[in-house]
Amino acid sequence: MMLPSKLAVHLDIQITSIILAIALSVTPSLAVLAQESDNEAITITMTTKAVIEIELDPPNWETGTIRPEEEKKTEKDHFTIINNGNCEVDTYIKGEDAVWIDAPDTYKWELSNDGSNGTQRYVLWYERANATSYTPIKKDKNGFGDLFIPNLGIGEGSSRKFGLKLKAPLADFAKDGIEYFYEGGEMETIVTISGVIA
Amino acid sequence: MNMRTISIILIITLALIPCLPTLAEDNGAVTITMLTDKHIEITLEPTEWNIGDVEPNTEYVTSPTWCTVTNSGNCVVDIHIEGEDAVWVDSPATKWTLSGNGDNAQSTYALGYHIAYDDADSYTTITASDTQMQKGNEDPIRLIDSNDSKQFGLRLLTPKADFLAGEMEYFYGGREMKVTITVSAVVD
Repeated sequence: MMLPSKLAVHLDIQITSIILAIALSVTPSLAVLAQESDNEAITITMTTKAVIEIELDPPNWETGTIRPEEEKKTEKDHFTIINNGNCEVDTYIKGEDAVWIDAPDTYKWELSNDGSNGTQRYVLWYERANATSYTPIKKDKNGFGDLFIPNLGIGEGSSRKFGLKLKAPLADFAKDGIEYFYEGGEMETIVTISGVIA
Repeated sequence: MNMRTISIILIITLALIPCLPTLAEDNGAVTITMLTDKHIEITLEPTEWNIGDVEPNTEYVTSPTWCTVTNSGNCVVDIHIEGEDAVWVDSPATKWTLSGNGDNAQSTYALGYHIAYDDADSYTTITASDTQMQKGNEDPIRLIDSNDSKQFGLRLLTPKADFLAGEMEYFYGGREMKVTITVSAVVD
């Protein structure tokens, strides 16, 4: 009667030991499974170099002789603006006073900012080929001017056309019924179109 | 009396027989094994590489000791590295595919790393697959204990040009591209 009893006790202890051993061996493994790796990241940033290049064709407009209050204009598709850079740009336009090239400091026509001409004050407009009205071109000494063509795409396929119109100042004087400006000769002005990454 | 004496001697003899083996020497052993918790942690310094303006088909590299990976945990770790496609930040659908063989192409760029003081003086390609970092043709990088570290540098080869204008090759300009390289510590 004693032997079976002892055997039974021994088996219980062995089973308990086996269960304990399994439990102890599994416990550390769970801790390892919870974290098997760690990640860190390097972030690389770079910007594709921007090349901004605006081409205007033709780059000149010779109006010929102009008389007081006379208007001159080109065809509305006379000028072509092409973006030869590598990024889409917003373009801006501005004008400046016209000067007598023989003595720029002595005689000039101020560029009107309200679309009306006056004595020694002239007016410039532009008209886009797909537009039906003219927009005044204004001065902007330190800025780019007013928005001209936004989101101008790259290359000839995205080129746009436009025209210009100019109205001369009132006469400075009249002689024998004929109106004149003070200075005869060549007046010059520059219209600047700038491209800014859109 | 003789019978009694014989019986006593027999009993003593029988009682001693099982005791005899215990007089022989024997050793048993218990082996105890224990596992401590593993803390896996690495640090990278620096974690940002701002290249600035990039041009087509051009290689940009850091110093070979530019980045230090340090074992900040308490166990032995292997160091792995993995790259990914570069994306245009403003429009992530526009991307440069990461080359799988180190060669660039239009809209495909290449990444490489160079372990400092590597005699092979060469770059190992970083691909979009998790790969164990290796110094030249030597054994893979393994950081043994806390504060063990390795230094490495990076190389980036930009894609070939998007288009030609005249004789100049261009990307579409002004695009900020971004890529993340993942460095991992893995317990062997």
